[in-house]
Amino acid sequence: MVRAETFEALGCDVRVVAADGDVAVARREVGRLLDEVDRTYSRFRPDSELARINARPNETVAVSALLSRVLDASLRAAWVTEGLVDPTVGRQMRLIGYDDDFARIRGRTDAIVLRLEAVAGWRTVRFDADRQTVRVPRGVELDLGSVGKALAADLAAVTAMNAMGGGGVLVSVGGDISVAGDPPAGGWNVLIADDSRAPVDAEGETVAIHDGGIATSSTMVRRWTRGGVELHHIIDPRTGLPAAALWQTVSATAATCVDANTAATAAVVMGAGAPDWLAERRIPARLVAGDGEVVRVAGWPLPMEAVPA
Amino acid sequence: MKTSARLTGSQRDRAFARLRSITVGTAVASTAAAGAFGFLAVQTNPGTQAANDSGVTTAAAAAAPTTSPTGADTTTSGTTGSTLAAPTAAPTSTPATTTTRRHATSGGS
Repeated sequence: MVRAETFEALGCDVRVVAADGDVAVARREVGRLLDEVDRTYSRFRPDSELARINARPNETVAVSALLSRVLDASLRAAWVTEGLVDPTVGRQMRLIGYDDDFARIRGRTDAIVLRLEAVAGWRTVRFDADRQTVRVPRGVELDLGSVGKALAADLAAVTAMNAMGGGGVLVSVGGDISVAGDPPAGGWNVLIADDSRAPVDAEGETVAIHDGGIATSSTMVRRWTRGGVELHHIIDPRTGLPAAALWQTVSATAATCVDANTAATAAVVMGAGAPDWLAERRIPARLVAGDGEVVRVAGWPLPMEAVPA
Repeated sequence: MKTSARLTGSQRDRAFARLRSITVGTAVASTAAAGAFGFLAVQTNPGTQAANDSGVTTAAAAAAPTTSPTGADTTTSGTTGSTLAAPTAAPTSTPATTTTRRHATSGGS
């Protein structure tokens, strides 16, 4: 028996699906974890632990276990992508107008000044995982949203699974999906879409995963216009501006949702070299170009309808 | 010191043999010294990992805790290591017509 519950958290839709387990228990544990995530590393809550760290530049600050975990994951993402996915884009996010919950920034139309300026970079952050301390230099603001949401999905899936005591669970946090335990027969069927709010019965390509995670990065959502300029939320750390959208949407699967998200986001930022980069790392991925052309790499399957009989 | 202007054949052969032994001996001694110095350096300075260039004072590959903040065991295989971790198995295609069996949507947010 597979049951699902949906609710909102972290400014996005959350879906919890349990196979042969108590979905109410899973949903409760996921909700509790996401509350902790929100209190810890929301960029938009002035009382979050992350906001307090961003407000204390050049100080070595002790951090909680959860913030230590997400800092570690974010810096590792920067390391393995050679800085294409960089947690020091917080200031640039603010400068391009993404300084509040997305629902509130969409209504603004006044012009802003865009600066072509590389971010300070993840190497400027001094993080000690053993001592659980971090030091952020003046002028740098951390934004852990990208990796943070995926990590939340990974932690939530395992936490829910342990609380259920058996079966299997899928947790989707705004389209970043992590699964744990035993999948239902045939695997977890996931619709691939530009927008995570697309209903599961919408038209589109479907793939089945059995473990790990799947994530999609897209420049087609969280778009807004300021002063006549259209912007989106995926920053290219090399320019400090929204990434040139050669790929409008990239989906990837990996051993964890964090790695799937890291791969997908890096591919959007990387542009032309992304298919080879993903293939070299054996990360199955589906890349959709601006003209609608679809490129599949490293074992991402053709849609069932396109498979020759 | 006064020496004869010309060496005999046997004297020349001995001189070349002596020169070769000095040359080879010097090379062997230099290699041994370099190795010994390298060993000493390794023993006295553990060095830094690539991640340390970043300011991550504990190597990223080893830094991920083994338990979640809530105390639950977590799978860390994909959140550690120096490269992205591929899934155990690639995704498989599912007929788009079986919409009722879909469990979630992966998309941008």
